[in-house]
Amino acid sequence: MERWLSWVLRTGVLLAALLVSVGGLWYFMVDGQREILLDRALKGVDVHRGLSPTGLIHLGLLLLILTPVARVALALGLYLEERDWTFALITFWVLLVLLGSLLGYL
Amino acid sequence: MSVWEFSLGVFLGSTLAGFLGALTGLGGGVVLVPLLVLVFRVDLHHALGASLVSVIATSSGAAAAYVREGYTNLRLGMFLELATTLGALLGAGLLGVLPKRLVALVFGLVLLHSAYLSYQGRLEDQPIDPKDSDPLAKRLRLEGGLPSPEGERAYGVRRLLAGLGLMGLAGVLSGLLGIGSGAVKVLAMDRVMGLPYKVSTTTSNFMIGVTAAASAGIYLRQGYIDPRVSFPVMLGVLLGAFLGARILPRSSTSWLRTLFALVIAALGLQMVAQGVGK
Repeated sequence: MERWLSWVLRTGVLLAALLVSVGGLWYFMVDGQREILLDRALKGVDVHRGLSPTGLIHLGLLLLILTPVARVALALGLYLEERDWTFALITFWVLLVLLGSLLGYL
Repeated sequence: MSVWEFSLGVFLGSTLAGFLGALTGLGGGVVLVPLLVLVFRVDLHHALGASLVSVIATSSGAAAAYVREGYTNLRLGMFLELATTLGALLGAGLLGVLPKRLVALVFGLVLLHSAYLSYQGRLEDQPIDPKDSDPLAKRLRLEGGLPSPEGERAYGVRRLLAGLGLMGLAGVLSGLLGIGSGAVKVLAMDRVMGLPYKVSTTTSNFMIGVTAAASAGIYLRQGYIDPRVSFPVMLGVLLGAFLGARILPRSSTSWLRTLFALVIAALGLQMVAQGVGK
C-alpha cells in the first residue's frame, strides 16, 4: 500500500506544479508588465475557467486539490481488495465528505 | 506594482517561508498568511486560499517520501481523517460568515500559541506498551511498529477518542485559517495519544493534505483561491520546502527554531493588532 500511495501523491504534485508553472509563464508573457489589481474582488467562480493563462493555473490548482482525494480513493480500493471492511467503510466516508465538498464547486 | 514585481516578490517570500517551515517543522502557512496580508496587501481571504493550496502541495510532496520510510501510521491517519475532514468543512464554512477581523484575531492567537510550543521544545519519547492500548484502538488495529536499528519496536495508542476530538478542532482551525494545523495534530498524537514523536509528525503530515482538500471545495466556491496569488505561493513554498528538507538532516536547528519562534510571535502580535484595531 505504501508504494502506491506514495506514487499517487508524488505524481499528482509534480503534474500540478508543471501545469501551474506553464500557466504562470504564459500569464507573465501576456500580463507581465501590467499593473496588478488585487483589490478587484473575484466575483463568481467562472472568472478563471477556460483556456487562458489563469485558467491553466486554475486547472493545475484543481489537480493539486484532487491529489489527496485520489489518495483516499486508492486506499479505499486497496482496503476493499484486502477485505478489510471496517477500513473500507472509514475511507469511503472520508471520500464522500471530500467529494461532497468538491462537487458543490465542480 | 506590476504583475512581475508582485509575483517575484511573493515567490521569494514564499520560498523563504517554505524553507523555514520545513527546517523548523512548523509548516510554511503560519508565516505565509501574515506576509501576504501585511507586506503584499493581499485580501485576507485570498491569502488564506493561497496558503491552503500551498499546504496541500508541501504535505503531499513530503508524505510521498515519508510514507515509504515506514514511520507514518497509515491506519491511524485514515481513521483520524474522519474527524479532521468534518472539522475542516465546518471551519471553511465559518470563514464565510465570521468577520475578517475576528479571523485575523484567531490567526494571531494561533501563531502566538505555536511560537510558544516551538520555544518550549518537546518532551522525550515514552512509547506506550501495545498491551495498554485503548480497547477501540486494539479492535481497529491502530498500533504500529517503529523502525529502529534493532528491528521494529511495537507501540500502542491511548485515549483514542480524546485524540479524535482534538483532530476535529485541528480540522476547524485548518479550514478557518488555511493552514495545515500540524502543531495541533502533533500535539494530539504526541501528548494525548502517546505516540512516538516521529510517528506523530509524519502521520500528521500525511493527514494534512486530505484535511485541506476538504475545505478547498468551499474555498473554490467562494472564490478565495485566486490563481494570480496562488501560483507564486505554491511554487515558492514547494521549492523552499524541498530545499529545507535537503538541508534538514545535517543542520543544527535549535537557534533557528528560536529565531523562527520570535518571528512567528511578532507576526502573531501584528495579526492580533489587526484583529482588535479599528
